Amino acid sequence: MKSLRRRFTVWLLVATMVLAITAGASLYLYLREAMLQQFDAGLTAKIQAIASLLRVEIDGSYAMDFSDESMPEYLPGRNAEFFQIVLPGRATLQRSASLKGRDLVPETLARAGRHAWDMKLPDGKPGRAMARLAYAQPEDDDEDNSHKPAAGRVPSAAPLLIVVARSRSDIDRVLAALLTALIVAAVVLIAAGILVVRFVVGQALRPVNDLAERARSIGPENLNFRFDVAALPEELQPICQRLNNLLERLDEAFSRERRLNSDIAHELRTPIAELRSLTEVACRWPLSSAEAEGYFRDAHEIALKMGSLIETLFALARSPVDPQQIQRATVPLVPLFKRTLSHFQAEISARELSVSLSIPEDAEIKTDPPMFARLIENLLVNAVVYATTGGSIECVVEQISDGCIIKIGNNTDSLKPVDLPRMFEPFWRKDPARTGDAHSGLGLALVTEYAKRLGISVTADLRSPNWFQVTLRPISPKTQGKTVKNDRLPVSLNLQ
Amino acid sequence: MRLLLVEDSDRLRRSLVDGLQKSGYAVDAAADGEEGLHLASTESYDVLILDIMLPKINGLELLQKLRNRGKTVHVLLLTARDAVPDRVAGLRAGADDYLIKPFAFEELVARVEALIRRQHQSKQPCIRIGDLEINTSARILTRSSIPIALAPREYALLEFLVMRRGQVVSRTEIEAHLYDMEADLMSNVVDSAICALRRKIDRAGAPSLIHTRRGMGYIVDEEDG
Repeated sequence: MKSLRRRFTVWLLVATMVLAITAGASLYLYLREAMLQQFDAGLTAKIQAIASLLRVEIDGSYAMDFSDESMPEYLPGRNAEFFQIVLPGRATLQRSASLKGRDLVPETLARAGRHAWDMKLPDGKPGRAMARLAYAQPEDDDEDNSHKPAAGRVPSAAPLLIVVARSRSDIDRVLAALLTALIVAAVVLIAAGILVVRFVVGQALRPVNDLAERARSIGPENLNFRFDVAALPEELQPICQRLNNLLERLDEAFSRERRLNSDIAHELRTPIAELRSLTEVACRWPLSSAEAEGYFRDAHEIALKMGSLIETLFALARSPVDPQQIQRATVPLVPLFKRTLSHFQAEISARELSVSLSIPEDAEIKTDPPMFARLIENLLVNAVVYATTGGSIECVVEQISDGCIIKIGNNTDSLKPVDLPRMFEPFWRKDPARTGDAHSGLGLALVTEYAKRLGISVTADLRSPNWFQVTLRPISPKTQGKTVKNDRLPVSLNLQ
Repeated sequence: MRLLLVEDSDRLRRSLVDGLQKSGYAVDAAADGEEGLHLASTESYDVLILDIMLPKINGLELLQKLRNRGKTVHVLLLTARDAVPDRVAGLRAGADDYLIKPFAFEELVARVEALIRRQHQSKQPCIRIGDLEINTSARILTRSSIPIALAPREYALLEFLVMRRGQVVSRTEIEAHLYDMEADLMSNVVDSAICALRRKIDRAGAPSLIHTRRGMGYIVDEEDG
């Protein structure tokens, strides 16, 4: 039974039925007991009335002042009652005329000592009888002390057994009517309970149904949907809060995936489109030598661009290397920076950039020299290409106990804080049109990959709205494992 | 027919302009969205070939602005994005067709032709005027089943006139649709082109299919009405 609605309905109905039956049965038994007690009290009064008529004669014999006229209920008739007085010797002192000479009490029952019991009356009707021991009053005793041996009573005066019985048809009729009423009430209650339970369960589960409906409507096309947590019942709020968090992460992952697919599509399809268009046009019409030269030059540039792109993709796709297994050698930083910057001197001059190095002469780092050189080269080429024209580039190295902190910063007039978490994604470019093919947006992704392999953390900051800085610091062995497992490098936002 | 190509990749733009011009189209080109919007708003084009990822104004934004200005030029979107939502977004922005990079040059030309036919409300690639038959898909011209060879520009002129069969086409319209912005137009360039075309398609002794309406322009029809 996996449906909450069905489960609630069944259990509530079962509970309602059990409660209704229990309540009905309890009520019935309570009333039955009360009525029997009342009935028995009537029988007791009858016994007392009969006992008051008994007396002990002077000679020790028993006598009874009884006449049918004074107690007509004991005469034979439709609703006749019965009594029998048994002497200690088990002989009958007196019996009601309604008994017509028969015994009221089977001997076994009298001997069992039960005071009240159900029985079949001599006239065949169901009845109830009661037996009590009573003492007859002495002849001269005026006081009513029939139930106790009075002072001065003759020693031979033993208690007499008085048995009375009467029909219980009235009480049985009332009890049968009560039972019928209770059964009808229980059936009506259960039928009403089904309707009420279904309505109540439906109402109670409506927020859950709404939630399920809304959750069912979520698909890749509307991952920006969020549940209105405040409007939900408090039991559902933690679930929906978690779902919202999950949707947010999913939305972000889907967006990243879409961006990546779109960027890859552009980076890979555009050069193929260029080459295809170039060759198809060239094959379709005869070319002049000048046209042919231009076409070949374009085709060559496309080949170079695609070659470079594929090499970078291979570098990114290579299986990760454990930082502990890197072959390390000492790399002096000043010569490395100067040598790398000299490769971009023409671009630095063309863009009128000023470059400042604040690196201690003896600063060095133990790392894989070729990989670290490619990492620094990618960061510097990024700074040279994207620094504001006429701006500056700063390279700062601070020595610490377990290595160096390297900061490479440049002026920027286009980066926003929202760009920082995305800029390490493969193929990310600030320019949404991705114009020009000198860069494909893989530089920082490559930096991330190299840093991961070298055990270096990379963070990007906007120290001010116009100053972008990348910081490299060694990862301590304690946190190294965590960083290597994490695909996305920590990015801090520091807008001052 | 005159086309505008808005594409930011220099190499692709160069080869497409070259190929389309050699196919007989007058082609203007723009390297960014701003320039493309300016040209599309101020000049008259039969088809606009538009890249989506463009600097300054992206292709979809350009298209929306163009439509908001009431321009009904047929637009063929070129893009590397092939996801369904991208195509839907392009068509909903007002594009008439969508071509994913990389594409065959021949397919681009075929789609441009289809858009031109749609502009002139003609679904048939074959148009007949008397015994002159023009297959606009194969770009083949015959008269009495005899093939006639035309230079691309001559073919474009004939196709433009035939597409507007029965209507007077002014010299200015012909200039606007057949020559790109870089063409060095002399005052009698249209008259010379019409004259050259008549020489190739008219038969000796038979009335010309291209009729002159003095002071107004030219009209193509079976009979001079």
